[in-house]
Amino acid sequence: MDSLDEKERSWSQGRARAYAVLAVVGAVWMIGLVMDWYLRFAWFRWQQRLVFRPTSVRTMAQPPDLYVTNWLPERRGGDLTRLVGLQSFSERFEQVRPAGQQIVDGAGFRNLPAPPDLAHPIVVVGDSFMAAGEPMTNMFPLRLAELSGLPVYNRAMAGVGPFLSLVRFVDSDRFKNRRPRIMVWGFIEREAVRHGFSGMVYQLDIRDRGVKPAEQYELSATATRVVWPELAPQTLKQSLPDTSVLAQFSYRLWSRLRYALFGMITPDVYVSSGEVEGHRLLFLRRKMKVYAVDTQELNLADVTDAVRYTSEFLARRGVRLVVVLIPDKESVYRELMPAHEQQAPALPLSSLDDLETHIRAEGVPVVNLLPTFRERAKRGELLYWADDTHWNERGIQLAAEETWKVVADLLHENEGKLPP
Amino acid sequence: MLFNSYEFLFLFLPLVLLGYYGLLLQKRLRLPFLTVASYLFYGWWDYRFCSLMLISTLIDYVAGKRIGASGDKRIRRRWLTLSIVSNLSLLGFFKYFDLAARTLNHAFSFFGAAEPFIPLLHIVLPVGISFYTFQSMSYSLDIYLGAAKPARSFTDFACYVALYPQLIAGPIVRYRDLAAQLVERTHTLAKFSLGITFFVLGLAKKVILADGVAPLVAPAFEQAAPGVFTAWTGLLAYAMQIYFDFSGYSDMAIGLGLMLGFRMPQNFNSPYKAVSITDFWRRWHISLSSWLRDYLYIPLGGSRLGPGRTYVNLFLTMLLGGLWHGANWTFVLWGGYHGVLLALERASGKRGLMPRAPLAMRRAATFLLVLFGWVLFRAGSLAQVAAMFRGLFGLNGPGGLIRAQIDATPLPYLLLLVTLAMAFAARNTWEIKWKNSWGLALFLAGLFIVCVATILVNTSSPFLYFQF
Repeated sequence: MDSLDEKERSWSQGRARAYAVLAVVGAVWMIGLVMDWYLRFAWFRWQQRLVFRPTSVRTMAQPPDLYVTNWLPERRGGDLTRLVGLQSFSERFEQVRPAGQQIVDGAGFRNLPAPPDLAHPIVVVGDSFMAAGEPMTNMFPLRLAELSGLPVYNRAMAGVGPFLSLVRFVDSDRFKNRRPRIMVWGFIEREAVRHGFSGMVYQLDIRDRGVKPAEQYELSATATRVVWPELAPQTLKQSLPDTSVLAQFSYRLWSRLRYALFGMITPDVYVSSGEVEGHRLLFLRRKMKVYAVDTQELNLADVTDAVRYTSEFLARRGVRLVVVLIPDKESVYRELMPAHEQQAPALPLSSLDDLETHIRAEGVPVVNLLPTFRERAKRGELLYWADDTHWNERGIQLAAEETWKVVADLLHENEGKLPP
Repeated sequence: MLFNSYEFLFLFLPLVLLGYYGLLLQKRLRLPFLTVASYLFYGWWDYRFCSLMLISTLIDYVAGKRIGASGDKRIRRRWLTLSIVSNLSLLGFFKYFDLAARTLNHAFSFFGAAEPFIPLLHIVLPVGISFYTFQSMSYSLDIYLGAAKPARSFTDFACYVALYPQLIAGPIVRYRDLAAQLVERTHTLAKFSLGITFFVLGLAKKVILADGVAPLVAPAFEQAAPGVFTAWTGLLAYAMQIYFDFSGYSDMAIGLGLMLGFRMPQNFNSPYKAVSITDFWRRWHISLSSWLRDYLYIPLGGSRLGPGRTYVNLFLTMLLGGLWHGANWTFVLWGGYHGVLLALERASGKRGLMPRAPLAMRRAATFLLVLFGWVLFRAGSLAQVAAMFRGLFGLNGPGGLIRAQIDATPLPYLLLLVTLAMAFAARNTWEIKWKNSWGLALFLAGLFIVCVATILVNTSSPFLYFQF
């Protein structure tokens, strides 16, 4: 401790420079601190998650039949090139999305204008695979509508996963007043993990037991309050990439440095070893990690139970559930993975075939897209965007055709049995 | 929360410093404020852990008071026993219960028991419990030994136990070293600047160097048959990781202490420059080795009871010291290994095992012995220890690359060279005789920016799910 005394004494001498470290490091720290927190609130609107205001809760009343048309300009690049974040690298993979119009209905879903009292016999729920398309004409629900000649309502929600979309629809007035005959529910392979399904069953079970969902959601929602869990370490950490300028800046800087110095991109993305229709594909490694490390996550029995429960829940309300199993790009083009990715030990080709068998055994209609997609892929067809995790126009068309085969049979066999 | 986290650097620390210097001009409010802040800091992991720390604090506070107030040796002894037994029970239950249960079950199954004899509780280890129970115990021990007086108030003592800079990873500041500072300490700009210097250097050691070489460690220790190159780089990287991680954390703690006016003892003194294992333990985790010396080795009799007993005492102290590091028999083995080496050195006399060898050779030999010790320390099981030693001696062949190595940039290898050079050739944080200057200030600011950026990159891999 004498040593500290000595250091302190020597630092107290030389008046002019005594504050140097404090001044400079302190200033840097303060600037970073103030700027990051200011932008977190002013720009990223983090306060909307941190502070709960009852008025900000969306009411579940019937939305006005109001359609908004947005014109989207031509765009390049997909979620994978954005994840890489390097212009010079991404250029080689980027594909062009043509300009087009995007119509959103009053409830925020992408649907074409229709009379307010039109009944849709088919409703599509799910995630961005089902909800979105580039441009709007390349959307799964629209393709299904073309094939079937029936109005198809798009209730899928991009960005929140496939479970919330289904639960929210069950809560909606549309479900109560204009109940569909068929509900097409699609989810991607990497989402077929146990916890998401269990959460959904819990939510449906509450409704089955007659507890009003609104009360569940808003039990303590009568006053403005701080949502303290948003400050919990894990949540705060997860929010950083979306709400911190410093985090975003650091990530981009490191991406550039890594590429400039070592010629490497983020380990979350890798490049296919071959080409499809003249394109090299980008793959997402996250999926591989999930399967290789955590096979427990994918508990087929639990997932199947949840699907059966959901199907029964809907059947009691006169709705037939059709499950669409969407394969990951990595499963479809497995042969194009680099050798060390392919040899990952004990990795099943895909879980979808097993899942299909299980779900079929429960008597739930299911569309497994994997075999068709694999077959087309082997013929050299590109079914996904090269620069994105999502499927392209041809993938959507193929999925709609396969789905329609199953849905057509159901409509035919249930003719007259279900309410119109 | 960890010092190298966004929430500490950009939320907790600024608020605490603001409260400490800005809002609390009333000096007597400062210790209570620090205590509350430290409990918040600790409760960030799990608020339930706070009650454990409070219990430990309460028991030692009462015991210390009684020991101090009584002149009767028996009463003093009784209260000391209570303090030690309760602290060790807390530590024993939360840290070692499952290990003991597993070991006993194993032993019973050996004698033919079909069912597990004792159920495992799968207890979550409260962070830092090894540190604060030892620290809290040192209070009653110091009062018993006459090295300190009972604390002025409960708040003083609670603040000493919980003080966030050293709460979770040391240094284990003994009560006698901090007692006077709890009552009276100075706050100067020089001290604060020095604190910043220590903190930033410690942060850089942890975030840039220790975390930088970390990707090399797992591929070596987690393979069934690591090749000779992987095994040696992995082991060297681990030696550097643990040193820069731990000493970096100690430097940060000392720096944060200085910012609040506290002076804490040095915890590391270039341990890899040691010329013998005895020397190594004078340089590695000094606060723990001196704690064990003063409160375990000396009460056991130290070197006063003849050479045979001295070796036993050394061995026992190190064995228990090993166990303190974690609930696994590999740690005990590691402690025993060092105990044997210390006893051997003691037996060979004061001049060590290789008195005539050149300095560099003695250093190299000591480092090699320490490295072999780290294999025991890092490996999760005896099977892994065996696999690693086979790899080190080339019995697994050259070995292949695994995914973690394919994904890695060459940066960890470069950093490994840097850390080796720093550990063997450079001065340590305490030896550097920098003057407070604009040049140093700019250097530290740059280092701080790099550290923050690194922390943010490491903790914020983009969350892709929001796009689905």
